[in-house]
Amino acid sequence: MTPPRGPLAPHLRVAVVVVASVLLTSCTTVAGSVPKCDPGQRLAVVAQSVPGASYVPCIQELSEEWSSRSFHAGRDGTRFTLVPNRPGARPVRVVFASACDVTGGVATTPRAEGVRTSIRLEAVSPRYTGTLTDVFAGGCVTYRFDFARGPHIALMEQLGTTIGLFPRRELGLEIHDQYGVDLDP
Amino acid sequence: MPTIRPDLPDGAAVVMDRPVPEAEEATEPARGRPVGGIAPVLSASPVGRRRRPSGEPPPLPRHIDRSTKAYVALLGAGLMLWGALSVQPGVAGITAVDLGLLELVSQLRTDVLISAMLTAQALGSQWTIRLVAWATIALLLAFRRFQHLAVYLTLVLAGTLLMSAANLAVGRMRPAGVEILGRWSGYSHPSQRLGLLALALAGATYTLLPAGTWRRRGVLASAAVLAVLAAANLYLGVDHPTDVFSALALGWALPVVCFRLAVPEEVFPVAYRQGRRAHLDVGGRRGQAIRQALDYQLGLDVVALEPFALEGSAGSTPLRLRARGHDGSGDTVLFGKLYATNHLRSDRWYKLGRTILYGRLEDEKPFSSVRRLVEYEDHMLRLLRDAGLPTPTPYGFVEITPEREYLIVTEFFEGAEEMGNAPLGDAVIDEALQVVRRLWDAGVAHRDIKPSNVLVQDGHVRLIDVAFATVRPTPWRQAVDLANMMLTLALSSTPERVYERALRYFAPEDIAEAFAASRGITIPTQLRARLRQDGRDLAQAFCALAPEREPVPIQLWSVRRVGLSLAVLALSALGVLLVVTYLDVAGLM
Repeated sequence: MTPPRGPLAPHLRVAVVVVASVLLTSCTTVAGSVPKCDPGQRLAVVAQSVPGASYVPCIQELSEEWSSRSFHAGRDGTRFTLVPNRPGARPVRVVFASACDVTGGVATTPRAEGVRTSIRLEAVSPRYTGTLTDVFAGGCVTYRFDFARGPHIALMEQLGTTIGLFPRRELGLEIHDQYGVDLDP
Repeated sequence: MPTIRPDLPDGAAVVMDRPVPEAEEATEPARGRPVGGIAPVLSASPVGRRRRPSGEPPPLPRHIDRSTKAYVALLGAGLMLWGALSVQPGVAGITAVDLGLLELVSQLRTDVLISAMLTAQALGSQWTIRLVAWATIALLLAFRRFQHLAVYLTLVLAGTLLMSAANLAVGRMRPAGVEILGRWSGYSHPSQRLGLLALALAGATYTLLPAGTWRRRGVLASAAVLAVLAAANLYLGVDHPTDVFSALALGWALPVVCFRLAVPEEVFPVAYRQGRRAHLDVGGRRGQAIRQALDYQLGLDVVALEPFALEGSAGSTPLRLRARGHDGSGDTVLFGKLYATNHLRSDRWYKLGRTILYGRLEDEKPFSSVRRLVEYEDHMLRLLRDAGLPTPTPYGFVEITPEREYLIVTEFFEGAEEMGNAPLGDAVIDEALQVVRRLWDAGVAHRDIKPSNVLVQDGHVRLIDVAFATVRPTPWRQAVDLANMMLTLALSSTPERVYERALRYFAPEDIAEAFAASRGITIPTQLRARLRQDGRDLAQAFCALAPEREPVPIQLWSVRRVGLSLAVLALSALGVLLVVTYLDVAGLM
């Protein structure tokens, strides 16, 4: 005899909730991605983390050899890591803050107008280790790198093209045009 | 007194010979009363038996209250908001309204209030959320409320991931044009900290606090905490008003709806009063539904019902029912056992555990539904009665909520006492042993012989609680019934005396087999406890009296048992792994 069909029994409902949650959550991702250099709300959050900074770091071009992770924007600035998909290369830690320590840094070619770029090397062999810093009005970006010697030249070049600096003024104008709001109070 | 009509089928045991007045017949045709002047055969109460017409709700229909509907509406509004925020015109319009409101709020800023709101923001700290979540998990574990715990853990994980996913998908900036004074992290929509705190508080409120006054207080307290945090975030310009709205929809409304659907209060009540957790509240709506069901389905006019001997029952809610007599001869006391889905679950776990411990010696399967469970017990009561066993007379069962709750009604052994409460005479010992003899002759094993299931009423033995009985069981099961009965009797007597009386009904080899099959695991918990209290090694005494016999192997390894044991081990290992991963992902570490 076929049992009569009734409403879902509670244990079945618990199972449905569990399975649905697992399925639902398996489709989601919690890994935040670093905003690209497109003027929009995501990049605006990075800008809001350092009010008054004239440039905002963003992903200009993320090649297949790199991936980004651990994006965090907050009241104390923004930080994230860039991971080179090469053996021997450790993640580059990028920090966007209102102030940076550039002691011991050697000036190098500026990455944008109004930006002072410096590099401080801690070791060149057996690993190429150090900090690259972009300083601009109201803020700065530091890139802490640690590459194996050999591929380090290419990696340093790629680092420069991967991370861009977006002018805050331009971002503010775009935000105003798109959403009718002012980025800064 | 309800009258038993021997010429009627079993289910129609309660009969009323009171003629129904014609006026009543004419006015209530819809209730199943005959209109044509034929005297009713089955009518006992003011309303009497009737078939529930198609479309009419059952006595205790599944009830979705207004607040649940409101929460579902809130969730829907939250989803619509997400949809609107995913398109540029929607973002612009909603942001304009949000910022207008924040602008008004920002005009109220004072140094004192800013300082107070910065302090209030600590309510949304990760440590507060972890504290609430861990305390809830610990309490649920301590009170062994595993069903609630499973749903709670699922919701915390799913809620956390959903909130993160929504936060990243919408990718909304913090309020623009307003000075942000408070702490913030990540994108703005939905307000993560507020949502996570709401999730933790909703979980604590709906899994730890009993429904009623305490839960209402819990909801109010949670609402106050969330309101303070929401106000702080808005005042400090950290969140948009719509971020707060979405966080509450996802963090509060979603878990509340899930808890109400997955662990409904009627089936999985949160209670801390004495007694087992399996017991259901029989007051309020359920009490009324039980009375109506007994009236309509069995023709019993119940004037009083009360929980009875709860401490002795783990698998159902036992009740004492007082039914009005039809001829004014006084009320009749009946016994009822309310079965619900949680009892079915208990039965499943019990059988799974027993399969692993004993092996699959008996051809038994867990009941597929509450209906099947109650049908089985009713069937066993009738079968044992037909076999001449002194079991309570069955009166049938009633449906309270289809497939979820049923009440089985039997005779109540008024004045009966648990075996072992008083010294036993030879006559009672003989009757008790004859009960086992009859069980054997009927090809049945009771499987739960213990003092609380063997009663003595007016000097006669009564056997109750036949839900675990089985027909054509494994032989050692029947032998164990004899051993358990002899141990129960020996508690109020001596093993020598019981053995001597047993030889009148059983061969010495039967008794030897009984104790060769008996060991700790085959003895019901209550009987084991009594034996420990007694201090005498009664089992050993019986073994010494009976002929020598090799122990009967009762724990046979089968493919199913090996598979189940391995599965349990693998699941345990996986569980540990999942817990570690879970705690990490859910942000509880």
